[in-house]
Amino acid sequence: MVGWIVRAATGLYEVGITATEALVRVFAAFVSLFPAVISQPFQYAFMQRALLTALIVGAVCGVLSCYVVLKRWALLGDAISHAVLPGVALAYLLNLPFFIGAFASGAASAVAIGAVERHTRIKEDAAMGLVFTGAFALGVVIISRIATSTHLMHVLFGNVLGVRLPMLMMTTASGLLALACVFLFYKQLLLYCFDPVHASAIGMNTGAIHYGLMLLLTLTIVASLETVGIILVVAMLITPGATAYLITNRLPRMMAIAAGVGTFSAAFGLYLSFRLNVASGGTIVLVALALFVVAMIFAPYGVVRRGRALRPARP
Amino acid sequence: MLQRVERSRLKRRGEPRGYRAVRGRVGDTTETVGLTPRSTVAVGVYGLSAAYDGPPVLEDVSFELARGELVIILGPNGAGKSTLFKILTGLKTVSSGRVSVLGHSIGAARAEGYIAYVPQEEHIDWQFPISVWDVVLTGRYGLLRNEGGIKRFLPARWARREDREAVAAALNAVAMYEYRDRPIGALSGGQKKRVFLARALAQEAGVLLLDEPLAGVDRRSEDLIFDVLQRAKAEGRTLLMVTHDLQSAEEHGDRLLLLNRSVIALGSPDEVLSHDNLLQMFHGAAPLRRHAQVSTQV
Repeated sequence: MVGWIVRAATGLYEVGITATEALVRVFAAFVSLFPAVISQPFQYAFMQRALLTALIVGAVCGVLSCYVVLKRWALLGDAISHAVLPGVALAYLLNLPFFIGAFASGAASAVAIGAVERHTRIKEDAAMGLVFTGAFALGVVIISRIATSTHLMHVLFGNVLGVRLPMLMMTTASGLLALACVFLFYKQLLLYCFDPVHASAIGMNTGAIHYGLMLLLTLTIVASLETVGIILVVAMLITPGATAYLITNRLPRMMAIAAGVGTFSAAFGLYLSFRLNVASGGTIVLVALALFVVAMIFAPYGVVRRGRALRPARP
Repeated sequence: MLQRVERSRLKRRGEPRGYRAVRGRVGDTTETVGLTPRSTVAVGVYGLSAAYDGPPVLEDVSFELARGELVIILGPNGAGKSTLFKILTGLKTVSSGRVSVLGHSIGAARAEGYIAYVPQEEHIDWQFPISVWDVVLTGRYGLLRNEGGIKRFLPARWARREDREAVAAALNAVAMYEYRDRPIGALSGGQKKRVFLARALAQEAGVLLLDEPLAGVDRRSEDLIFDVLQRAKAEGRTLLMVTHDLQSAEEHGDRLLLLNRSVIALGSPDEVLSHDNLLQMFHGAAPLRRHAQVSTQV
């Protein structure tokens, strides 16, 4: 029985790796169609993998960032992203894929925040502050004992140029899983963000949706660690959504725009970081922020046109 | 399967949901719960108590609402009105007592979509990127889940034709159809209320909970809202409304429920709106003595 499971898992893994490899090939062929100025950095295999990872992360983070912005969960995103550190450290210690550890500790901290909030009189923001600093501190302590500081730096700031095929496969799989969840549970998530009382009144399990969205966020964060790192991942979970929120008044459009902002900043940020020889995670975030600033000034709900767009209609 | 056929037949007749489910239990109609035959009780609350951390907000609350009546809850702030609504929408559990909605427990009634809720204005984020149409469509989510089959997993915009028709009909009923593509943030106070009322209509629920539907509403919208409520009553829906507008309550309520932690009075406006009752409601127990003291001091 066990042997059968192991064989199935190995088989699945190999199929996944082959598929990912094929995906990179196809993608590389597509990129090479662009003019040389653009495609030149991406003739290296590590750049192809980096670009593909960054694009997936940009799209998934963009979609999820809409919920983060609308639900005012920016601090929660920050909390979960910091709280994955001890999981990464422990996974390193136990020689497990860091994905598993990171997801487990992120999910555990999300539950812990909810527990502190529900069972004590501590409010949500303080509960988050407690849990995520505590988890982060634990992570730092474990890492200082077991690993070299380069490893810590990669987790904290991302290492998109060093992404290997298994990691890319995991990112792709979890990204697709997250997007599938958003599609299948779109109604539940929309209603939970917009009007949780109505959601409860028509018999939806709001507790399950709450933790489900948290898990989805954790999954996204874990998938993004290699690209932008723990510290900056929350930027990718806020900026695209915030930018799109200034542009449109429909959630599906907002998600599409946010995904566009996420992928564009990922691709262009990576390109710039290669050209200028600077840190890629930071560059990606800065490009996204630049897009936000443009939107903040010129978008329909930006500074310039704000007054006109939201004036109440005559009854 | 049988249930589904039954439901679609109901829909054609435009009856509110929750009817057949109770009426179907023929054996029960003669049995009485409390004072009224079970079949006519839409909402029954029996010995209900609820508390947050501290003393109970609701204590031994009991009342029964009949089908097709509009009952207005009056009470000062902190009287437990919103707690009662939280219990009926499943956001809060009771400490003791029993609640039945159209013959079901709250959980079952919610799952069947019998309970519709029209929120207070402050409880909604009006900057949320959603259009009037999509808000009313959220009223159909429960039905989509229960009846939609595989379509329950698809985006609501690809809903069944009957859902689109129900949304359009509900929007027409509150005269908001022309505004269907507007973002909700671009509506006036009265229009906002009407949109959420339309959502409750689209849900085809048997019991409507209305939380301050008259606050910040102009005269025209208020008249329109009461027209719609009258029609909903005529269709057999039960309406439970919280308001601070004493005059409208007196004018439109079939019965008034004076609430301050427990039921002070329940009855027709003429019976209930006595000086003593109001004093007791606003000042708590033993109003006469306190009133007498005040007057002798003056």
